[in-house]
Amino acid sequence: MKRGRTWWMLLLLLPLGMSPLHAEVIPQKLGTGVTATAEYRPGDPGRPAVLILHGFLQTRDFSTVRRLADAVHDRGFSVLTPTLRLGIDARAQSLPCEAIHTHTMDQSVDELAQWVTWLADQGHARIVLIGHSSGSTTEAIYLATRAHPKVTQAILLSLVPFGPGPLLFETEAHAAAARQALARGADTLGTYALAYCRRYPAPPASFLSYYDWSRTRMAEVLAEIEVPLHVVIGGGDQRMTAPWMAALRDSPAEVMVVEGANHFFHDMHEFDMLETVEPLLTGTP
Amino acid sequence: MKPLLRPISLSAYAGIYIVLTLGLFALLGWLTLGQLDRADRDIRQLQLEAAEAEFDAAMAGIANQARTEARGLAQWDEVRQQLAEPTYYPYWRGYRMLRSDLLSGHTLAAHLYNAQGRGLAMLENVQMPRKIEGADQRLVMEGSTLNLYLFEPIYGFAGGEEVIGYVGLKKDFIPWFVQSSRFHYLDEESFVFDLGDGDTIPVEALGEHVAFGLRANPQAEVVREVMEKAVVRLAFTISLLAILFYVMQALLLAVPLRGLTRDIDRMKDAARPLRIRGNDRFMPIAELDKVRRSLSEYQEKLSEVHTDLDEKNKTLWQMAHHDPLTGAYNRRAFDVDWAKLNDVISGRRIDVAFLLFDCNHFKAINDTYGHQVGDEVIRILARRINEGLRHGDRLYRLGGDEFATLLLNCGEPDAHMVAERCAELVSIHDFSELGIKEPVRLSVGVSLSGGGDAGALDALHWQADIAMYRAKRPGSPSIQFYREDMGDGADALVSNQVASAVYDVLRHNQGIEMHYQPVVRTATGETEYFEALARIVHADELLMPGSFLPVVEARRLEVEFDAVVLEAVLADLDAGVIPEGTGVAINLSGHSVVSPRVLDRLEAFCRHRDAYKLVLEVTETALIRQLESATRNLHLARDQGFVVALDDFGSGYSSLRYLGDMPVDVVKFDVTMIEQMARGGERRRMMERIARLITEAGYQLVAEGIESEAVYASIRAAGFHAAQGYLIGPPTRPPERRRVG
Repeated sequence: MKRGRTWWMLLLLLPLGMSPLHAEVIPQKLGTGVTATAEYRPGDPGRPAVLILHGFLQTRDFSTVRRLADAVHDRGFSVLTPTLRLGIDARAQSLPCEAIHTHTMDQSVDELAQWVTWLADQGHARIVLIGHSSGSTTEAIYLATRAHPKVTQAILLSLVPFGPGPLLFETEAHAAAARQALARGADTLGTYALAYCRRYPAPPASFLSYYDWSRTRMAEVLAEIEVPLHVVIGGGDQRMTAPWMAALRDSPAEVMVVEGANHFFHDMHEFDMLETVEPLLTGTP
Repeated sequence: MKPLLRPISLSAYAGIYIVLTLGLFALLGWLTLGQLDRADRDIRQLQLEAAEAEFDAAMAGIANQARTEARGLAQWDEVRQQLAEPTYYPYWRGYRMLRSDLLSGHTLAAHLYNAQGRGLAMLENVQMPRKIEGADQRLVMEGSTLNLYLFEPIYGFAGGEEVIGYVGLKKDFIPWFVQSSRFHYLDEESFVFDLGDGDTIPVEALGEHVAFGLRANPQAEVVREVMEKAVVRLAFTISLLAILFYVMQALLLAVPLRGLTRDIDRMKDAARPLRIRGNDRFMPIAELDKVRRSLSEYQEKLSEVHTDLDEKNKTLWQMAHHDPLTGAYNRRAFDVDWAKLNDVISGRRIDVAFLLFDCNHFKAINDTYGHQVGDEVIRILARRINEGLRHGDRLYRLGGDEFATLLLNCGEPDAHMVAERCAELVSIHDFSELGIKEPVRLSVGVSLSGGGDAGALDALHWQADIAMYRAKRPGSPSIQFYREDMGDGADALVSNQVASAVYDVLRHNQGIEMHYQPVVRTATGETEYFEALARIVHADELLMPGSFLPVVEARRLEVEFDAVVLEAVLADLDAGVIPEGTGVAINLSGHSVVSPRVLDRLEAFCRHRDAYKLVLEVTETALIRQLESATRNLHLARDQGFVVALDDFGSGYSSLRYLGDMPVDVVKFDVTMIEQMARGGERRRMMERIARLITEAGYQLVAEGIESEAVYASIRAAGFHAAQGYLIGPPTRPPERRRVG
């Protein structure tokens, strides 16, 4: 284990600070005429392509995602890292909590589906989905609802549901207010809280499109996923409540814990996370 | 001749030096300050150029900053989000855009526009145009605020070229500009714009509408202040040094020099040499001290010499004015005192007694007992007469055994008493000790004068002379006072025939006879005029000047005698004795030339000046004695028509310098000079040169004593104007016209 960790470290340090030499930003016209982008780095054709999806309001350049993508590509995998539009064409910046959030979970799942299709269209016979945080949530919903047949495996890091919980600010009151507004047919902005955002201006429908993916609903989603599923969590991730951990363990997913790591696998735990993920990828049939 | 420039004092030189120094410094200071002003102007010009460059750079910087800021906004994802979905734009603009960190301070407003330039929403108080024409930067004066409007395109996504909208910013330009820029030369507080409300200009044109001042240049001001202070300090120092210099020169040089000068002036004015004061006083300048000491030593030496000279003068004066035999005053002292007496009593009523003493039979005593006894008798006579005089009276030995005294404020009784006392003292003296058996007695002639009339004083001498000879007559009292009747008849006869003749002439105008010697003009040989020569006819005998003039001079009778001569010549002129068309030359003594009485008599000759050439002949010796008054009178005589001839040139001083000072028309060569010419050789040539020199100076030359044809020819050749002598004709009466050649 220790030798493997050192190898990962060397692998990650080599391209440190360097942009991927063979990276290509792919603009993707979506069905609504809007444009999303993803970075595609082709790898060994014999190996499955890996799609890595960022967390809530982030981009593909979020550090955990970037380092993971680099490491995976360096291991010879083709890697696609989309940045969800979140209502902004060719979005390149993380979206602040205080920005207006008209995007929905469904839009994100649709975008993901289009990128999986795009990968399949590139000739990749096997596709592995890796997600981080709400990216894992999005992928889980995708896998449960419209999974492409070429997706052969999913590794979901720090998978957490929406809804009230530790370190999360949304409350039932927010949800109630949103539902009332939605019931009134009003499409006005409401100021809610969601995930780590204390202030989250959004139309009620947009807010609820996330909020409603609660622990219970997500447990149902996990149960419906048919591809091999691995959930990697940090042993120190405070958002991993006991009920959710229980739900995970009750799911078909193999739960793997990186001891001591937080929600973002910061510091040296990043390597532990990679050492956990790499065997899962290489073990992919 | 006075010098053109008067010397000025040391203090004045010091003052001039100080003024020049201060003036020079003032000029240098003025030039320095002028250079400082020019440097200030240059620095200010450089500052202005730097400020303009600074302004341009700041403008470029602020424009770039504005554009960067706008581009930052344009590249903001949320901006593109609003362009795509502007439903919530008012909220987003208020809560997101206007609060964004992408906007710097001084942003008054911000707005988004779609690709057609229309604002995303019709908002109130947006403070931005509702529609724009595209990307733009402009400045608009709104009220008193200059606002920058900036509109920057928004592209579809990073690297895209499709303009999907515009972001607009409104900035309060001046505070933003000032705070965003750092100015070293430009004074940002001094901006003044020539823009009116609503005026709009491109950003790059702002430089044409702005005026600004410059920041103070502390270095330049410090330099200028330091320089000005330095100039002031230097001026103060130089002024102080100048004052110090003035005081020092005054204390060290001027005051000591003035002290020395005062001492020297005091010594100059003093009758006797004085010592320099403060000889022991401290003199700060060594050279001055040396001068003072040298002067003091010189003064001491001078004082010694003066004292010695005084002694010698005293001795000399004693010798010159005293008779070595008797110790009494001599004839010279008598002449001096007599002249003084004339001055003292001129115009005053002072009684004067003139006593003339003479020893009876002295010639016989001298011949009988020898000269030594004679001399001893003379000494005793002097002593005894002196004892008889009043205290302060002077006794004069006029010659031989003749003594005289002048008694002032002395009337006849006192004079008589003095005369008696003197005669008595002589008579009681025992001369037998000298072996003289005969009695030795004095005869005393006394004359008195009670007024200040100069003529009366002049007469005292001969009056006393007559009285004295009366006293010598056998049977007469030995003391005789002159009386008017003493000149009458046989009483006029005195022991001296010549003197008697002279006195006759003077008292009675009898016996004088004028003879005339012709003077011919060498050019024509014709008689030009005659020289009047006096003769006295006495006792059927014709006395020549050689015999009576010594008596006249000895008795100081020149003025009286000349007056008689003038009367005689005038009478001859009136009587037609002298041929008309000729002229007459009259000899005047020196005393007569300066005598107003003689001058008055010359007036009478004016009636003849048309018919006769009138010549006054004076000797140079007579002129030189009283040159000033003689010159004045001779000028008056010339005004009356007289020609002035200098007689006997060559017998006296013969100074050509004196000749230049005298009012002389004719120079008459003395016989001795003519004799030199007669001798020939070098002496003749010298005389000829002198004659030529005088002739060329404008004088007429007359030669006297011409006794041969050869001499006459030589003086003609030498340029002489006229000649006289026995060759031409002797003095005759009546005058005879002669012609030579």
